[in-house]
Amino acid sequence: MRFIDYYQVMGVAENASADEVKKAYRRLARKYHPDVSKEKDAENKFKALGEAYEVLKDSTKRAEYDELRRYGAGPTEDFTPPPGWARGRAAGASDHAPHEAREFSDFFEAIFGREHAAGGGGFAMAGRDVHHRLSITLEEAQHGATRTLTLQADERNAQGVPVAPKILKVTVPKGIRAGQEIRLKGQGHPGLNGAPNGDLYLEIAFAPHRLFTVEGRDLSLVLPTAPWELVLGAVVTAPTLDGAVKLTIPPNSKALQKLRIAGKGLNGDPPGDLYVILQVVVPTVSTDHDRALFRALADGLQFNPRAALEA
Amino acid sequence: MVSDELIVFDFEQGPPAYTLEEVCALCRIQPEIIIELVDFGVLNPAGAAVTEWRFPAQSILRTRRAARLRHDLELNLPGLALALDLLDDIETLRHEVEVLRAQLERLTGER
Repeated sequence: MRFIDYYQVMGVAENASADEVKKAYRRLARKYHPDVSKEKDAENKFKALGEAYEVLKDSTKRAEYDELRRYGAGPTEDFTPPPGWARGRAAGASDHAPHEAREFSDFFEAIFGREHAAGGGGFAMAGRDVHHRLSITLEEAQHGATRTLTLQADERNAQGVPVAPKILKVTVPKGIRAGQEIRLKGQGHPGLNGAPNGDLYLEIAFAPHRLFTVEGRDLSLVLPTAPWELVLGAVVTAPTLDGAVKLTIPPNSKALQKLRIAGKGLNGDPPGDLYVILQVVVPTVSTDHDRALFRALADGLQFNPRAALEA
Repeated sequence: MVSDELIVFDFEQGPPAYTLEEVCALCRIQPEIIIELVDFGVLNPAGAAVTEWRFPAQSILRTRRAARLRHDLELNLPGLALALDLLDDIETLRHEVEVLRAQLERLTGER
């Protein structure tokens, strides 16, 4: 197993005082807390930080770890505790939340023992809830979907054998929205000694969409149009999550004007709307014929686009 | 393995549905803390008396987040209330920036 340098995890010197360790923990805990940080790896960093602090804040555990660290001579991929290493010598009550089991790395458990890591043998203890983000497409939200998730388990079973990755089939219900949660009862961390398992919460996030942006239940679409379609009005085709629809652009529409297509946003009760932002696309002309068309416009039309600048 | 029970916390549909006991059970948190969170305006249940309190589904998410922050960062309640409000604001602003940036990229063709 890999040797974990807890000093490096916490960014403190080997001779850091207990006070410095505590300060470093508080600072990094704020930084990497999964509820605060949007960093992709925040959850793992926070977990590693908690484990490092668990060891370094306790002078007995820290002394044992220091001894091992000298033996292990720094980070290596194939660390094993020295022969005769007494597991769990520093085992003792810890002040983490008493109502939940906590998981530590293999490295931690090899040094300090599994019983301790699990929060004390013999007690029935409910498993921890697990929280994950699940990114889905707008199409999946709109129509519902079944997703298969592979959850890498970092816990071990009663025999100390790593638990195989958990495969879960999740039904994403039609009309679900970003920020909502799906709870899968009993799919969190296993309970100890007969206590119930924790639950698995999946917080829904929308993956960026090629065409649409989302605000609440409403969608927005940037629709490219030709200048004359806005001036003369037109019936054009616009994409929606439920297929293409006909959209009437009224005469003398303005560039960037928003048209609302009621009920074509995300499903719900009531469903959201689709806002179509009219973008003007100007053609690139390269033939005399095309240039003549625009020349006629330029010569024949009374139009000053900069009138507003000449107050 | 196929999940046998699926609950979706539907944040915008239906009336506030969860009682104090249910929120406590779902969030694994003591009622005293919830009562304090209500006192500090972090949670806003419908109903006057504690026994009549009904929490909307988003309270579940918020309470669990509050419980994690309180425990992990050793926040007191005024600090916790402030942190949650600021996190909400940041979330709203972040989303707004994302939407505006995506629209701008489409309008200017810089994708």
